[in-house]
Amino acid sequence: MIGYLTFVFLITGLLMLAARRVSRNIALLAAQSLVLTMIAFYLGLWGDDKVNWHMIVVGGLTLAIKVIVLPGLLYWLAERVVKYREVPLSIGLGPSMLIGVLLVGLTYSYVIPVLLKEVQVGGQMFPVALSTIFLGCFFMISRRSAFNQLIGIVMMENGLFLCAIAINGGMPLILELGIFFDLLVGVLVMGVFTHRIRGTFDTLDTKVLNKLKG
Amino acid sequence: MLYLLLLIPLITAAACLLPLGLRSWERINILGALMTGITGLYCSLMPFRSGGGPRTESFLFIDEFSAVLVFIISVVGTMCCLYTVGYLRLDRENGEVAEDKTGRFFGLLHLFLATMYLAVLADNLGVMWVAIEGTTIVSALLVAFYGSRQALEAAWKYIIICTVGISFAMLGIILTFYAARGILGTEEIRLGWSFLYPVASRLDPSLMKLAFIFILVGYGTKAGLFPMHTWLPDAHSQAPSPVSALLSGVLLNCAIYAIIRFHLLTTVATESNFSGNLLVVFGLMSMIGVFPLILVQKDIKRLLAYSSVEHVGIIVLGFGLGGVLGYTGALLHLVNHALGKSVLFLSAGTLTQRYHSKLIPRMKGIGQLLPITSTAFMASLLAIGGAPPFGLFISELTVASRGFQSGGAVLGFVFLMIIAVVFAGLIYFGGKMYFSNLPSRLTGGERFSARHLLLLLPLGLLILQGVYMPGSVQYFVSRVVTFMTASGGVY
Repeated sequence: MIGYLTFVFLITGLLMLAARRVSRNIALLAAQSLVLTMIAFYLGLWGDDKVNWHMIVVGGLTLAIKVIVLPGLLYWLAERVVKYREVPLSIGLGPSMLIGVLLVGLTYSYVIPVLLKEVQVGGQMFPVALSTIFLGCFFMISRRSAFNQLIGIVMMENGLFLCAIAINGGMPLILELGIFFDLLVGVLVMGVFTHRIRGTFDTLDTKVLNKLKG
Repeated sequence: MLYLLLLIPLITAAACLLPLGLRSWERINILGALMTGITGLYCSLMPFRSGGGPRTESFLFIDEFSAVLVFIISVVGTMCCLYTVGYLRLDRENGEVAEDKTGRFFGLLHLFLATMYLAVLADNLGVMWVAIEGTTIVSALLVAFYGSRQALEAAWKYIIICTVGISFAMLGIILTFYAARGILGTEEIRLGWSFLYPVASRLDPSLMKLAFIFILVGYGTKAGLFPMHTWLPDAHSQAPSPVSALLSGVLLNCAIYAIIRFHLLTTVATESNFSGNLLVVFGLMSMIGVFPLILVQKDIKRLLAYSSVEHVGIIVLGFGLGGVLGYTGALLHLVNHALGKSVLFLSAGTLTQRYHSKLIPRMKGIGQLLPITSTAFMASLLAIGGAPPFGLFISELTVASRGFQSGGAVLGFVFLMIIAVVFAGLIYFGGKMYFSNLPSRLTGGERFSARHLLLLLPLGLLILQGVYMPGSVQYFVSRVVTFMTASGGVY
C-alpha cells in the first residue's frame, strides 16, 4: 500500500514538470499533499501494532494546511497576479520532463546507494522523497515565473516532509508545528511579494528581475 | 529571564504595529530597544557568573558560546533600533517613506530581533531551524521596505535563495536525528544541544559527516559563504541602512553560530578535523572569491556587503583552523566585525541619504558635508580594513598566526595578501570620498547629537580592545575558548 502511495507521490511530482497551466500545477500540488496525508494516516493507523497518534496529528495538519489552506490561497492569489495562461519556460517541456526522469534515475542509482549509503532505510519512501526535493528544485529553475518558484518551494517542502517520515518516522511534534507555521507564513509573505512584483513590474516573468549585478 | 528576552521585542513589535501615531511609535521603539538591550546584556553574563555552566530553561538555553552571540545582538540590535529613529526622520523629509509606514518598520525590526534571539537561544536543532527561516521571512519584508524595483528584486532573490538553501539544512538535521536515534533508540528524543553533546562521541561518524555537508550548504547560504553568497550583496545594498547593518552585523553571525554548533558536534563524533577542513576551504574560497569584486565596486553599500562576505570567510576560516589561537581570533573577529560593520553601514546610510545616491563617484567631499558622521565612517572603514589601533587588527593577526602555525606558509601568506589588497581597495575608495571637494549644490555642516554617540560608542570599544584588553574581557574570551576547545563543547 505504501509502495503504491509513494509511487503516486513521485508521479504527481513528474507531472508538475509537464504542466504549463498554473491552475493545473496547483491542483497537482494539492494532490501530492493529499497523498502525503494518506501516507501519514496509513502509517499512523496500520504502521505499527498500536495506533500512532503522532502520525495522525501530522496527517491531519497536512490535510488542513497543505491540501486545503495553501492550495486555496494559491488559487486565490493566482487569479489576481497571474495573467498568462501558460507559464514562460526557461527549458522546454519535453527536455524538462526528460531531465526530471534523469534526476529520479540519478537519485535511485547514485545518490541513495553511493552518497547516502549510511542511511539504511528500506522501502521506496526515502528515494522518492529525495527525488521530489530535486524535482522541486528543478521545477523552480525550469520556469521563469515568480509564482512557480513559490509552488516549487512548497513541493520541496513536501519532499522534505516525506524524507523526515521515511528516515525517522517524523520529527518531534513541536518541530512539525514550527515547520508548518513557517511554511504558512513564508508562503503568505512570498505571496505578498508576487503581488507587489506584479504591481510594480506588471509581470511575474523573472527575466525582469535582472537589475542587480556585480 | 531568557523568555523575557524573547517577550520584550515581541511585545514591542506588537505595540509598534498598532496605529498609535508617530511620536508614540518612536517612544515605544526607543524604550523597547533599551529594555531588550539591557536584558540581553544581563543574559549574556549568566553563564560566566559563579557556578557558571549552561543555563537551561526548558526550550531555551544559554552557554558560553551563545552568550557571545546574545551580546552581539543586544549591542548591535539596540544601536540599530535607536539609530533608525533619526534615519527614518530623514527618509520622511526626503519623501521616501510615508509617515504611517514608520510603525510597521519598527514593528518588523523588533520582530527580526526576536527571531534572531530565538535562533541563538534555542536548545533544539529544529527550533533553531524554524527561527532562522523566520529571520529570512521577516528580514525579506524589511529589505523590500522601500518598494522600489530593485528592492523588490533583492527581497525576492533573498527569500527564494535562502528558503531553498535552508531546506538542505533540514536534511542535515534529519540525518543528525537519525544518527542520534541509532544510539539511543528512544521514542521521544529531544533534539537539544544539551542532549546531543554528551553523546556526541557515540554518534555514527559517516552519518555526521553527511549531515555536516548538508548543514554547511544550508546555513552557509544564509551566512553568505562564497558560492552561495549571491543574495547577499543585493539584499544588503537595497535594504534601509539600519537593516543592512543588522543583516551584516548580526544575521550572518547567527548562521555562522549554527554552523559552528554542528562543527563542534561533528568534530567530536568523527574524531577528525573533517568539518574543520571543510570550513577552511569555504572560508578561503569566500575570501578569494569576492576580493576582485570589492576592488571594482561602484556602489558603496555593495562594497560593504562584499566586504562582509570576506569577513565571514575570515571568521569561518578561523573556526576551521581551530586551536586556542584559531578560536580566539575567530570569536574576537565575530564581535569586532559586527561592531565595525554596523557603524560603517549606519554612517554610510546617512551619507547616501544626504547625497541621494549610493554611487561612490557621486559621493564627493563627505568630510565637508557631514564632518562627524564621515569621521566615524572613515574610522570604521579603517577598522574594517584591519588597520592597527582597532580590534580587528588583533583578531585578524591571531587568525593569521594560527594559519601559519597549522595551515603552513602558503595559507598564511594568501590570507595576509588578500587582507592587504582589500585594505588598499577600501582606503582607495574612502580616500576618493573624503579627500575631494563638495559639489556646489550641497552645503555642509552638522551639529553633534545623540546619534553620533551611537556611532562613536562601538568605535570606542574597538579601539579599547585594540590598544588595551581589560582583564575581565580576557577572562570572558578565555572562558569561551576553553569551552569550545578543551571539551569540544561537551559538558
